[in-house]
Amino acid sequence: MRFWLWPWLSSILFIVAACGSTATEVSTVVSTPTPLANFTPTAPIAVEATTETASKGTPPPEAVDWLTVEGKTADNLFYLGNPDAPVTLIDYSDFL
Amino acid sequence: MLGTEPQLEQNYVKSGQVKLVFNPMIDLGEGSRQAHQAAACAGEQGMFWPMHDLLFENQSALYSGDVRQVSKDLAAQLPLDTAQFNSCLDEQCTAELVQSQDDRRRQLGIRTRPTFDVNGQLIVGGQPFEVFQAAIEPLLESK
Repeated sequence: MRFWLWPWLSSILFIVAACGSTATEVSTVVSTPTPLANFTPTAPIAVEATTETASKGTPPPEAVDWLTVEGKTADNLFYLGNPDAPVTLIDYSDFL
Repeated sequence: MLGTEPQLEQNYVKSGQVKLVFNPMIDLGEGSRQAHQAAACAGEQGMFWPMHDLLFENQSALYSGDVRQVSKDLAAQLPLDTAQFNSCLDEQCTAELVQSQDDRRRQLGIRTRPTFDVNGQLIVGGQPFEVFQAAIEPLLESK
């Protein structure tokens, strides 16, 4: 009877030990944010705006540096900037 | 138009208000032709404007040296496939493109270098930034 109980007892001990280590990790993680309890923000935090943007699934608007954009016109001329810019400046020139 | 170009870029192109287009003028024979072809070869790899700037900044080297070799040396400074660029230049892959664009500006009657077209309004010769500003601002206000 005792020999029959050994494998069961070993398994139970192993599981308890494993859970024990997990419990330690969890307690470590939980204890880490403790300093936040004393955190005093020096500037307002825009939590609502971020949440709203995230819920709509649209990325926040980013300013485009059009100096990084180049392409070709319908006439295969090389252009720099916003392809839909209201003003087009064509430079007729030579490198020499 | 290296002089006023940085100001135009910082004041209007960067913000998306102005699109800057380059139309080649083959004004000084074979050297001009090769320099324009070099810029177009860089353009095929998305590097037209960096090459355009390098060519203008190194005009004296282009004048006094072998334009093809100087262009290759300049292109080697850019983050592009150098072998592909050199092959493009040696095989004159962009010759037809450059020639057709030069032909087009001749048909438009543009002879003076440089000439600028701001939404159809011509500005002839190298001009200070204020001249461009005076042409551009009313166009932006009317939009």
